[in-house]
This record gives sequence, structure tokens and C-alpha cells, in this order.
Amino acid sequence: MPEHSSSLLEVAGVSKSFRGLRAVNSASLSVAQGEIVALIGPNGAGKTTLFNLVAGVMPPDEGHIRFMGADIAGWRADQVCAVGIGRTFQVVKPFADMTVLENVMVGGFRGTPDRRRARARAERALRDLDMWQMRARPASALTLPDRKRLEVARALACEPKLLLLDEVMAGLRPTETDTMVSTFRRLNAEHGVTILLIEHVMRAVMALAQRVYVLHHGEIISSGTPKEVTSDQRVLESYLGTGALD
Amino acid sequence: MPIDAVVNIVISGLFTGLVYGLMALGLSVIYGVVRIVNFAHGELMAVGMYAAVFAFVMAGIDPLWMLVPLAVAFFGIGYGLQRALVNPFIGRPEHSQFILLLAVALVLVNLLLVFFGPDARGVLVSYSLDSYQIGPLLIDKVRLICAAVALITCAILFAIFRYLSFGKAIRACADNLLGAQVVGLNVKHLYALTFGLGTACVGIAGCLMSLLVDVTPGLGPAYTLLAFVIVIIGGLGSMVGALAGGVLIGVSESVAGLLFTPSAKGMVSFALMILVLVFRPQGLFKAR
Amino acid sequence: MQRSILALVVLLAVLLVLPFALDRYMLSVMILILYFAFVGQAWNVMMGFCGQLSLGHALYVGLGAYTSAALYQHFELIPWVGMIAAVLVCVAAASIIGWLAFRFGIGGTYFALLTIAFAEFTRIGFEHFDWVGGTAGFFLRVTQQSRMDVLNLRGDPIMFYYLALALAVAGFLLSAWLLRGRLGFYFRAIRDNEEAARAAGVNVFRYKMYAVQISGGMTALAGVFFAFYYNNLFPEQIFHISRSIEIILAPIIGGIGTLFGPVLGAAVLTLASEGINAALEALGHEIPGVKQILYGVALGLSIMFMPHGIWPGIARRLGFTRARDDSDA
Repeated sequence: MPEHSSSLLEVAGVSKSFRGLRAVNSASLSVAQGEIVALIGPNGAGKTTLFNLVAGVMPPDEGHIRFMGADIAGWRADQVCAVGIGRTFQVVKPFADMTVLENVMVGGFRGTPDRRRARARAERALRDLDMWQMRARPASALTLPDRKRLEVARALACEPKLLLLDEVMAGLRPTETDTMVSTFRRLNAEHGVTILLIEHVMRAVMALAQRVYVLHHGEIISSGTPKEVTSDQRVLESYLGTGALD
Repeated sequence: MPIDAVVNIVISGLFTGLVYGLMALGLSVIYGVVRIVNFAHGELMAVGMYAAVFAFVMAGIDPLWMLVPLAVAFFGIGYGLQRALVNPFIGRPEHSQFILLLAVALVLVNLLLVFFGPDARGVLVSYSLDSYQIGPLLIDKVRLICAAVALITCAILFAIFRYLSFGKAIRACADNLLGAQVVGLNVKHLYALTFGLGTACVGIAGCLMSLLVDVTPGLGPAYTLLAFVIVIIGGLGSMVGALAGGVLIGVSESVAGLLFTPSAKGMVSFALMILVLVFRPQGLFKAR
Repeated sequence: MQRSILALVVLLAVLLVLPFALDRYMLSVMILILYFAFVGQAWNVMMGFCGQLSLGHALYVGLGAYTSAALYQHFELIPWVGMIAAVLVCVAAASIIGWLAFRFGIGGTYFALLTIAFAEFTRIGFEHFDWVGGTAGFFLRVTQQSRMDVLNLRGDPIMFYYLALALAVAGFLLSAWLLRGRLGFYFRAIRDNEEAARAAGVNVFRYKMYAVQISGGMTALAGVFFAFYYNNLFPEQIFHISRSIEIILAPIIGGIGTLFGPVLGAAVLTLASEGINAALEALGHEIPGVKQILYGVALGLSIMFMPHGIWPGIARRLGFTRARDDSDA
């Protein structure tokens, strides 16, 4: 199947079942270099599972996952990171006994044993996320919004070409959301970071995403611009009762 | 070696293995529910053995009469241990719990050493040397009784979990902790009950074992290891697995004692455990 | 940071001249402290830095001891060469254990049990290993104590003091160096959250293997020291789980994961232990086991109320904070 020549990530016909339950059913999506793409859908739709398949947490049962032309389906998570995909977790996972700077330096060491280089990368990522001033604070002492930013900084320090963000806006106040949105816009525009994000917070999706995929019961039921998708009848039906359009 | 001698040895190992299985069952139950790895398990077994020996030496009481009192006492010890010491540790990292129970084990073993000394103590009842003759087989009376009691205890435990309300409540906690809490089950109490049940098993097993083997304080750590080997082979959290694993170990120990030098039989259990960890780390049986 | 370095240098200077001020007994106590500081440091690499609980570290002490002792006794190989063999043997053993465990993601308790199993297995094995004496023990040639034979490590306790000091210092420096580099960062990441570590690019299997190999290799040297200092080896004694527990007491009480914790823990425990021995003797009670009970209680209390050990609190009060990365490059 001829794909977009600048397609960074190409997911084709991917499926995953858990004990007979199909979490992801023949899902396909693609993300082009430099894009910001959102993946939305009701709870339990399989979004995080799809992320986990791309990020190497588990192998897909069927289908292809291609990143920059290479087939990465079934690769380990650290191999996926090495090839240029960074990710955050829906439930944040900071390295609790390390400082903010040390946390991000772990990401910075990707591909290099040089401490100074790791530190430089970490510094850049922390400044991007406006967290440099709290670099000496232990990660366990951070508030939830700060922990989320820490996750992003850590992923950024790996110098990824594609950033997978899993519900980074959840639990943030509107002002904090706006800050995050502008940060991601800047990262995308200035550093050329391609972003694929899972989001429930529609405010962020509308503001950030150039294209949106909608996942429901593990299947992609719609895709297009945010405007197109949010007026799609099928999408509205899948969200019926959740009142996500605010 | 004549075949009936070999069969005798295997059967003897099987019976001993059932007592091992009971001990391991206690460990498995505790882990399956409370998710605590009781590193003091073997030491508790040794305490049970010494208690039986003590009762025998002081008052001439046959260990079989001590079964119920010890079961009750150990239930209480387990309950208390869980509520007082272990409960505060539930949220803590795994290695903290482990080390805490390690500390308890260390104290227990050395208390035994201080009170009873390092010499081996045993129980010799009037029927210790009796045996039944069934055809060509020579079955030790004591071993048979112990095996029977072990089986009965296991059956009782199975029944508790299947039919009694608090047994079912315990299973609920194991299967779905959040759900159990939502429904209003007193988890702390149930955890303590489980610990008590597991410890009671160990108390009974120890009481039985005192009839079969002489006890020294050093047996405590050895039994802890053995219990873990059995549970790993059988599958952590599987009741059937604990019994099956116990029998497997009991038999292989007997056979190994036959084929190699008796002192090397300890290596067999470890070799088996390593094999299981390599080829089937989840154990031979699936968790209940 | 500067304060801590200064304090360490002062401490080192004191330790260098200490032997000349001590009597024989206190010298042997100091040697014990340094030994436990070193071996606790080695264990700390695995546990404190990487979060892998080993309760069978006596395995490496024993393997290191027997390897170097056998090469010396049977082939007249000087212990400096024997050391290399000892390290290789221990790294191999660590690799086997690590591979078995980490290949299947066996961690936590299972892993600890596996380490115990290997130590026990080896203990029983060595009891039947007649080439190195079996249960009867393995004895090294002893020459006159007054002759200082550094090549063969025979001689005055003072020589062993400086050897132990060298080991402790080397262990400390190695740990400090580890912490600074990628190894240390990756170890700690694995300890704190394996999944997040993977997502950040850490090959968890490989780095866990490094942790056990480094720890095992370091402990091998402790074994070599043990063999040549005590001159006799018994499997029942050297591989026993009590040895493994002894090894972990100092770092746990002193402070897991810190650099100075194992050192402080070793000092506190050894001095307390000798104090208890002296007290018990004076009281006329020579009951075996009392000391172990106190160890157990200390361990229990420590893990309950001070899970991070006694060093972090003291360090904070003295103003020695851990080297944070905000100041240096």
C-alpha cells in the first residue's frame, strides 16, 4: 500500500486481544513528519493499548507498525525509544528517589554514555517545559501537573522524533492546559517534534491537533480535521452520554 | 535394590511430602491473598515442632493431642503477627516486607536456640516404630497418620474457602481487592484471618513433623527454603500446587537419599526449583 | 559537596595512621569494620542502586575465597593472580543467576529466593567437594606471622588492615563513580520504575545483569581477603545464609543506596557486636544466639522506623547533602 512519503509512523491493520477480548481491532493510522495528531474516543476504546503496541510494551497479534520505514512491531520498549519514539504514561511514573534533573537525565543518556551530554539534553528539555528552576527537587515531592510535565521532559530528553502523549492534560486546570498546549505547539514548530496524543480534554484537542482519529471498541471509526470529526454522526453517537464536547 | 524397598521409600517420601505440602499450603494461602511472602514460615514450623516436643517432654502429651491446641494457638499468632507487624507494611516496597519477616525469622530461630539449645530433639511415642504390613509393603504407622491428618487439614481448608462465608470473603479480597473494599469487607480483618489460617496450617504441620523428624533450630531456615521451593514448583497461589509440590519434593528427597548420599538430597530440591524457574516460572499449576 | 569531600579525606587520613595507635584486638575489630564496609558496599550496588535484593551474597564470598585459596594451595598461584580468577568465577556465577532470573522478569522475592537457593546449593556442593577439603575444611599454608609477605598475603595483621582499607576505599570510589555515570542513572531508574526506565531507553535486562555482575565481582575480592586472612574455609560456615544476612545488615541499618551508609552501618554494627560480646562475657552469659536476636530486633526496628537507614538523617544534620547535579557539570 503506497504510503505518504513523509509518513513518520504508519500503523496498519493492528489488532490485540486480551483473553478473548479484542482491545484493538484492525486499527490503522498514520502520522506524517511534523504533524500533531490526536487519538480520541470514549473510555475503554483501546487508545492506551494502541499506544502500548506502538511503544513496544507488547507485540500486536496482527498488523504492521512502521516507523521511518522500519518495521518495529514487537520491538522492546527501549528499542523503540532508541529508534526515536518517546512516550509518557497515563498514570505518571516518575523515578521517585531521584531529583527532577536526574529523572530527565535518564532520558538524556539515551544513545550516549556521556554525562555532560545527558545533562545538556536534560537542561534543554527542562527549560522547554519551564521546569529548570525545580531541577533539584525530588520527584516524589512534585504535584501531579508537575509530574506530568516531568514525564514529558524525560521523554523529550531522549530527543525523539515522535512523541506519544497519553492524556497529559488530565487533571489540569484550564490555565495549565493552555500552557501545555502552547508548549507543545512551540516544540512542534521550533524543534520539529511530531506528536501523537491521546486526549479527553477536547479544549486541548481542538487547539492542538491538525488531524484526529476516533477510536471506539478498538476500531477507528472516523478521521479528519477536528471540526470534521466532532460533527461526524458516528462519533457523536459513540460519545453519547459522556458530554465530552464542552 | 529390591523393588519393594524402593516402593517403600517412595511411599514414605509421599507421606512426608504431604506434611511438607500442608506447610507450603499455609505459605501459598498467605501469599495468594495478602500478597506477603512470609519469610518466617519455616521458623514458625520449627516453633510448632518445638511446641509439640515440649509438650511431650514436659507432660508426656502425644503430639496428636496437641494438634487442635496448636492450630488454635498458631492461628492467634498469625492473626496477631499480621495486624501488629505486617499490616503497616502492606503499602511498602516488597523488599521492606521481606526484610521485616527476615528479622522476625532471625529472632525466632535464635530464641529457639537460646531456649532449647542446638541439640536435636525428637518425639518418640509408643507407636513410633510400628508399621503396617500390606502385602510386600511396609508402611510406617506414624507416617500414615501424619499424611492422613495433613490431607484432612487440607480438605478442611478447601472447604472453608469454598463454603464458609468468611472463606468466600477472603477469596473475594484475593480476586478483587478494590471490589471487596467497595462492598464493605473489612479487609484488614480478613487479611489477618488469612494469615492466621496459613499459620495454623504451619502449626499443624510442625506438630506432625515432630513425629517424623528430630528438630533443631537450624531446621527453621531450611524449612522456609523448602516451603518456597515447593510453592514455586507448585505455583505461587495454587493450593493444589502446594500439595502436589510437597509430594514431589518428598518423593524426590527420598529417592535422592537412595541414589546419592543422604546429605546431598538438599541439592535435589534446589535443582528442581531452578529447573522450574527456567522452564516454567509460573509453576506447574495455575493459581487458584 | 566540598564539605563531604573534605570530611572523607580527613577520615581517610585518620584511618591510614590508626593501626599504630591500636592494640591487636582493636586492630582486628577495625579490619572487620572495613571488611563489612566493603562487602556491604558491593551488595549495595545491586540492592541500593539497582533494587535487586540478594540474600545469597555469601555465595560470592565463598566462591571467591575457595577459588583463590585452591589456586594458591594446589598450584602455588599468588593471590593477586588468584584474585582475577576469583572475580571471573563470581561474575560467571552472577551471570547465570541473573540470566535465569531476568530472562523471565523474575524480580523481587522470587529473585531473592533464587539467590538463597544458589548459595545453599553451592554450600551443599562444596561440602562434598573433596579437592578443597569438603566439610573437613580447607586450610592454607601458614608461615611465620612476623614475615610480611605481600605477594602471598601472609603476615602481620597490619598488612591485612591496609588491604582491607584499600578494598573499602576502592569499593567506595567505584560506587561513587558508578553513581555519576550512565550505569548509575540507569540502575536507579530500574530500581524506581522499570517500565518507565524501558520507555526512557534503558535495556533493563542488560543493566540488571551489569548490576549483579559488578556486585558479584566486587564481593569476590572480599572472599579472597577472607580466605587469606582467616586461612581456613568451611562450606557450612562461609556459604551459610547467616553470612548473607550479616552482609546485608550494615547497608540496611546504615542506609541502602547511599555511599556512606554501608560504611557507617559496618562501624556501628561491628562496634555494637563487640560491645555486646564483651558485655555478655562480663555477665558470665555466653549463650549463643543472643547476639543474633539483637541483630534481628535491630533489623526489624530499623526497617520499620528508619527504612532509609541512620545515615541520611545524620548526613542532613551535618550538612552533607548528596551531590546534586545543579551545581556541577
